[in-house]
Amino acid sequence: MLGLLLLPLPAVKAHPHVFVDQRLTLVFDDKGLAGIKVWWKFDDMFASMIAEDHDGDQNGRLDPAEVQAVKANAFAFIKTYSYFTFVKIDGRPFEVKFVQDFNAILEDNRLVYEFFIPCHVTAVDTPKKLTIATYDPSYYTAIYFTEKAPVSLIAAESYEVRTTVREDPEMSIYYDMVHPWALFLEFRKKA
Amino acid sequence: MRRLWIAILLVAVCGTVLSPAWAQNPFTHKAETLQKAPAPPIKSRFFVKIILWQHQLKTKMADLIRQTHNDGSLLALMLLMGLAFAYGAVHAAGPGHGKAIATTYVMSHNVPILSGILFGLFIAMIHAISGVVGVVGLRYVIEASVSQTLANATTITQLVSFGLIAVLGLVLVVQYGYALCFARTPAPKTSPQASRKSLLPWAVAVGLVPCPAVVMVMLFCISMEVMALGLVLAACIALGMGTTIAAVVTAVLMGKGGLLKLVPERRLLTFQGIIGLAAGAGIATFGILFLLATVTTAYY
Repeated sequence: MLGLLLLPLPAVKAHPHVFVDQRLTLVFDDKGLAGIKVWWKFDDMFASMIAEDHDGDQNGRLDPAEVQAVKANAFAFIKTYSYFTFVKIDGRPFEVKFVQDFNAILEDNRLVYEFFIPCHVTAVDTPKKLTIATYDPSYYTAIYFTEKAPVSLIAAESYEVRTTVREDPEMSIYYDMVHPWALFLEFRKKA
Repeated sequence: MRRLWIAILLVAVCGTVLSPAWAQNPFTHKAETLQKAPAPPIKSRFFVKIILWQHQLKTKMADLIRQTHNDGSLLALMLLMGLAFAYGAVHAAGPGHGKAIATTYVMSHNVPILSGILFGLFIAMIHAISGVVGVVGLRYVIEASVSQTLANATTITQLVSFGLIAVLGLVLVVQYGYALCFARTPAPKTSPQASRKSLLPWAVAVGLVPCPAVVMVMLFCISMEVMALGLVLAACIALGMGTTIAAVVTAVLMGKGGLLKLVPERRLLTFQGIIGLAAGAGIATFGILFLLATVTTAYY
């Protein structure tokens, strides 16, 4: 009973029903990191539910108005959860408060969400270290990095960039029984 | 006294590890109030594995549903039913699905093992039937947006479910509290032989919220225009979930039997009475806390 009382309520009610394959693209500009482009492919059953509700003409694709409906009814709510993206810059949390360029693509019954998280980090001569952990704190959704090409870079030619995808031992989710997977990024100006 | 604490701790552990699950899809529903988790005590590779297995099973099921739809293969259908059963069993092995309430209930009552098994199956069947009725009702009767309307319907069923759990827990508190304090022979009242009929309201209270796993499989099958297949798979998933819940309930019943042998006979009745009171208080507290959390999320 004591254990029950000590548990955070949302955590007590959670287990995954939606599964997401994820790719992250790190987008650089002339100052350093500009942000993170997120690609999520959903499991077929969640895709079917979204298509059922939002592909109004049932043509197997989402037109711009339908994408806006998806954004409003099946994406905007996760703002509360920082869009399931938890960033630390040199060990300090960076809260994801908004995203840009949301798009939802329905093709061959597969549903993909794409969006961009602005996260400006100026490159210097010493390495900047970022941790980008992606998980649903309510744990209704389980997010996995794809086996092939989980991370890619855009416009990173001016920087030395190192990336690793692995479990983050400093974070714990799902009754503190699971370490979420995270992208560990280091970058600096090329000498 | 030390043994009593062991028993209370056992109830607490059941409550912690085997907690119920009535979550809302965060993509289609307003988020709940966020709270920070306590410091990590355990890291479980087992739970990492069962989540991955669910992902793989769900992907395979979707592929086989398409195959069954396209060629009507009997082999694919049989395999699909097996996968749906496995998915249900693995899905219910993680935290949730009413195992906490079910195990706390059987801790406080003299439930035969066969009734415990049926109790687990009842919970899973009602959980699945609620999902099927939700999908079919919204899709064909109300013709409403499934994800949004189902989220609202889930909130309502959560309110009813948590309210029922709170009331049933309070009834236990009153029954056992009265028997312990005022009855001369608390045995018959503090440890009633739970009939199968008396398990039904508990199974309804715990299983009432629509099962999201069943909802998604049903919707997928409906989108493929094979609703009958969806109903078969919903039954298989429910059977899988029920098997896991029944296994947990059976394990607790067997553990309880062993525990009671350690208690001196002259203290057995009082011991059972206190366990019943603690279980009732735990269930009532759980129901009230979750009822308040659901009301806060839904209306504030």
